[in-house]
Amino acid sequence: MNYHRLLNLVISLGSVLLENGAETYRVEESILRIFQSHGVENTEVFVIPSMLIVTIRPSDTEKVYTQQKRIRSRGTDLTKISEANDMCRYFCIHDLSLDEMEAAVQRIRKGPVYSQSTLYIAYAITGAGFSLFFGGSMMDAFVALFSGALVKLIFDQMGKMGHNAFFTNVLASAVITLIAELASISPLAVNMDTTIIGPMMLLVPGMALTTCMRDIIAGDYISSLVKMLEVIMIGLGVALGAYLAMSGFALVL
Amino acid sequence: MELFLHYFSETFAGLIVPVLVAFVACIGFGIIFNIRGRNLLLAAGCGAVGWLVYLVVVHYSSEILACFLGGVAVSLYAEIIARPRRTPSTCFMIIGMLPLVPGAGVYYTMKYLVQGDYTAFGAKGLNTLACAGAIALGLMWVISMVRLLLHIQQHKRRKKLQK
Repeated sequence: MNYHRLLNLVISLGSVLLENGAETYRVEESILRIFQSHGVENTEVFVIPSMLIVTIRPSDTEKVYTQQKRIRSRGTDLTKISEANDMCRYFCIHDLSLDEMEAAVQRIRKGPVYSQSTLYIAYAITGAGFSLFFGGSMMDAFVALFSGALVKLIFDQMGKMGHNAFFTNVLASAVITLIAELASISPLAVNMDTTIIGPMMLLVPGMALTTCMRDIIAGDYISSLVKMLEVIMIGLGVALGAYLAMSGFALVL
Repeated sequence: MELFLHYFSETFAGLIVPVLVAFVACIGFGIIFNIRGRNLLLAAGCGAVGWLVYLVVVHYSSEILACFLGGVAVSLYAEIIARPRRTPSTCFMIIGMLPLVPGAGVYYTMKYLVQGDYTAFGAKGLNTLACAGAIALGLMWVISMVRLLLHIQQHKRRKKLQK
């Protein structure tokens, strides 16, 4: 058994999971399980949302293999998590060669994503849908449609410039609030509150919130603390953005 | 019986529109999180189920209990559907709890702060926190129970193998 390649493979599978927002215990369990099914008894895995450290001591050699991987990009792709999770179980049951396993991990990594235009439509529909959901009128939803799509544009552009999540959310929430304020004094005469809440749901860190809770249940307090801080910072950013836009608007009027 | 049917149809009509809207909004979120195929509809269904439970309970009881039971419904649905779909239950849970998240509560809390209405700010803020806590509690309770059940199942299987 080529332990170097096995370790490489496992690290790349683990980083697929982690980069797409999987919980810490899921990554650790997946890695442990693969090594167990390949007959490596002594495995130590340490995972936090930004780092992956794996050390193995196979019983048939004297050598110790270790590898670390720093995770820099963090996105959300539930299909990739689901496929990587499924693939890991498949590796454990079926006896695949290393080449086959590497090809499978590469296939997951290059998995399909929705096109940009579909994503814009999804952002718009979600913004409008939640605005209706919180009791808005059709007109509110119509305005929310545009601010929803604008949120996507801001996320993309700020992501390209490498700004952090806090300032991105400050800007996005300020823009949403400004659009709603302008629409409410324009002849459209929308309800300001529901027009803001709908698109603002797009900024809710739902992924971090859920994985944070699951990490607490699993006992991974470091990871859950990191994610809790993420949730708090995003929440503060959203509140700050709306606060700035609202008080700025009140000042101008 | 007639009275019951009349009552039922009236509440039903009142329920179906918000649940449908929740379903559509959840589909949008599912696309943003790159859920594909049948899982997308199932995840949006998770949101619809959670919101249905919330609406029914809030009609008879308090908001906090509705949030708790909504959280329980979402996580139960996610855990049950996850096994046959061979997908982590988290994928459904994330989408499912979005309608329950007190987004409006957070917004109004902040709005009262901007307006300088500190009484309303405190009341709304506490209410929002309690709702969020109730959802989290509902989720955690079901997840812990499921983990316990799975652990017992594994233990039994291991014992059988040893025999």
